[in-house]
Amino acid sequence: MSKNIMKFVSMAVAFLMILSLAACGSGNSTTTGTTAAAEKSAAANTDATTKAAETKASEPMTITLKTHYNNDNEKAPVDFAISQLKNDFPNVTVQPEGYDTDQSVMKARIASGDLPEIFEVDSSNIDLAIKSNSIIPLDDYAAKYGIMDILSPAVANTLKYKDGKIWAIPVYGPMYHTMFYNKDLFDSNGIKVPANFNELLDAAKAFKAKGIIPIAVSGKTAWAIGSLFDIFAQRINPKGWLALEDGSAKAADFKDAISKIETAVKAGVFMKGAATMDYDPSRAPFHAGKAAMLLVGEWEVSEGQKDLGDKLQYMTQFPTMDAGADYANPGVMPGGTLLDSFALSSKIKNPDYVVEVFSKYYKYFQEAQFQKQQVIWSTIKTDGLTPEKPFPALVTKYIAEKGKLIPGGNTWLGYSPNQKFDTGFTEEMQKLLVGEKTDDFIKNIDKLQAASKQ
Amino acid sequence: MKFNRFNGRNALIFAFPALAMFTIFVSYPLIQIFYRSLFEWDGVTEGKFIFLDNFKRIFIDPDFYVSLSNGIISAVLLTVIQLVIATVLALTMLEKGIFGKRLLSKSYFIPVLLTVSIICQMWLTIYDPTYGLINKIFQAMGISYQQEWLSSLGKSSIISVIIVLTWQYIGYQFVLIYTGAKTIPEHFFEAARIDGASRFQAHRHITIPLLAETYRVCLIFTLTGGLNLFAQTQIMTDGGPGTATYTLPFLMYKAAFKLNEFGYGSTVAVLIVIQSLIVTLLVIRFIARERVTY
Repeated sequence: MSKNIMKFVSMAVAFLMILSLAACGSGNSTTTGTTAAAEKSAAANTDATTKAAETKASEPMTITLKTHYNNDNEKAPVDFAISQLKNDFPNVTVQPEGYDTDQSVMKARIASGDLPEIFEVDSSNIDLAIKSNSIIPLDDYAAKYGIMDILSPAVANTLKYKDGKIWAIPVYGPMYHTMFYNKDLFDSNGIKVPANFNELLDAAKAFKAKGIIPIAVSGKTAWAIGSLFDIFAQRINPKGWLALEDGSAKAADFKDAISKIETAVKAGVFMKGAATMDYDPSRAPFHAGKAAMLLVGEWEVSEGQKDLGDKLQYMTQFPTMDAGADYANPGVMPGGTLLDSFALSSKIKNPDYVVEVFSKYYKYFQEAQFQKQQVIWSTIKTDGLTPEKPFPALVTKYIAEKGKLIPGGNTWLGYSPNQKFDTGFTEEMQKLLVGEKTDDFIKNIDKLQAASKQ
Repeated sequence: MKFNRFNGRNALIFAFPALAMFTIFVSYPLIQIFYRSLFEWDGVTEGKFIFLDNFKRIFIDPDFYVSLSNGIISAVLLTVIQLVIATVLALTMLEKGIFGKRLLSKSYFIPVLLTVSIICQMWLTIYDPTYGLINKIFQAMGISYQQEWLSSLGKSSIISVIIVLTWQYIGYQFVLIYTGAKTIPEHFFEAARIDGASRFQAHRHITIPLLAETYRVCLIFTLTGGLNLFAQTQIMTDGGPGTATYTLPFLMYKAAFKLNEFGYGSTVAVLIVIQSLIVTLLVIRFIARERVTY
């Protein structure tokens, strides 16, 4: 009897294994099927576009919008835009869905085809979304529904992807990364705000002697460590790390900048543990008045004021050149337009109508960002828009100066489509921050360039 | 009603749910991993069959050797530290007249119940080179030794991460060993006492040998747990500085989810499975081969 049981159980296991294998075997065809379905869907979309006029405004429609909707600050402009949209499209219900910081969730959704109608996609996933036909090109729609007309020139010029098509509309306008400093700490300790590299080393020495962190920075955050490289490297080549990524420069071209970073590390210019420091802990000492400088994004111009008030100042020229040398590439800053953008799913039944709704939503959302949230990296032209509350003086000063600044590139480290380079470069920069030698850094970047060439 | 446990239909009914679950959640993903490791695949579009190219690539990938070496260090340290401390704690708790015995034995298990992210945040604060507890203690003691615990290119970063994993799960090993030790009949110890054995000798010659099967389970947990170190690395250092705290699961995660190289990520996963299987089989083969009965 026990032999029979063994036979039976063995057969059951074999049957289940065969089922598993069959499922494995169909993996490719499923993928192919998905691709074919997406192609079919894209074709259907073209037909639907021509039939768009047939859409009745009275037909109830629910659109899911996956966007930054995770805290009160993020919810306010989204909710405002949705409420405004109700006046234009009373039949449309927009359901916001929170954003997943971990883009692997979006990756899984692209892979499974489970995408909302409108969603934010970052540059690490946009290639996948395009290759899998998960999103629709927006070239015609962007012109037809006036999106191109409302965008600021700085944003409109960066819309086209590397294949020359518009696949997504940016959520954010150009954002620069800069060095903020606590003026009070400099004044009260009798230390001069550094204007060149030698003064930076002197200031760092003086601050360290008083137990104050000279520069706080998060080395674990790819864009921050990329900007750390750029404040030195852009004095040599305005593209900074991007020139290494696209292969237009070699690491040896930046030898002077790299060796300055090595010198700064040895002199203790950067906070201890910077290489693996998270973003928030890197800002905390600056906000607490225990760090003299902080390398971070331009949002600090308003956020930093909450804790530091008038003590907060920023630089648009970095103390990274030798004393006596003319400041090279003035106005060129780290940062740029982040490729975090709104894309539309190819599974939308009536893309023409949904894009029309989206274009209105986008306008209201960006206006609310500027007028209500005082966001200074809007994607749209803000002439004629008045913020509900006046901007603080430092923000107004920054906005006035921002127009003269030039982004070194069109993305941030960690957000470019070449993730292999971004990840490798972040790792190499971390090594530089913990004592790697300039020559080793250059050798490793040469290897990285070869390995990550696209 | 007489229940015939050898009835074939009953066997099917009872075995099927477990078999189905095992197939869906273990066999199928395992087969998929092996299958996908033969492809160049981005996880979304159709993959390209490249046979063993991913395996050839991994053996010339320097990150693989860093990950492997960190995994081995992790497994060895975790095993030695956890088993030694858990054994000492368990044997101490076996003694009569220990003050606060119940509270202590429960408190050892508290870190096991906390989520990894909370534990990691706590240790990030402790390790902070400027304001962290450890450096502050050295400072308070007048010792000038200050360390950037998680920011070193040598092995100190990975060891700092391993300490977190070790600390969190000592309580788990303690419970296994303590529970095992409590089942040893008291008359063994009485006999040892009559023969004039000290407590240390009694534990050395009675308790520990009789716990051989428990240690076998503990060893499997600590060795595979150490080799598969991931969450602490991901939260605390994200593999850095550079690749200093890479482990094989982290390499797999990076390949699949950061670089969209799911085929290569599957190859790393295959090696993780093989590595864990070898370790488990070796422990089963060489530790506590004879069944302990008392």
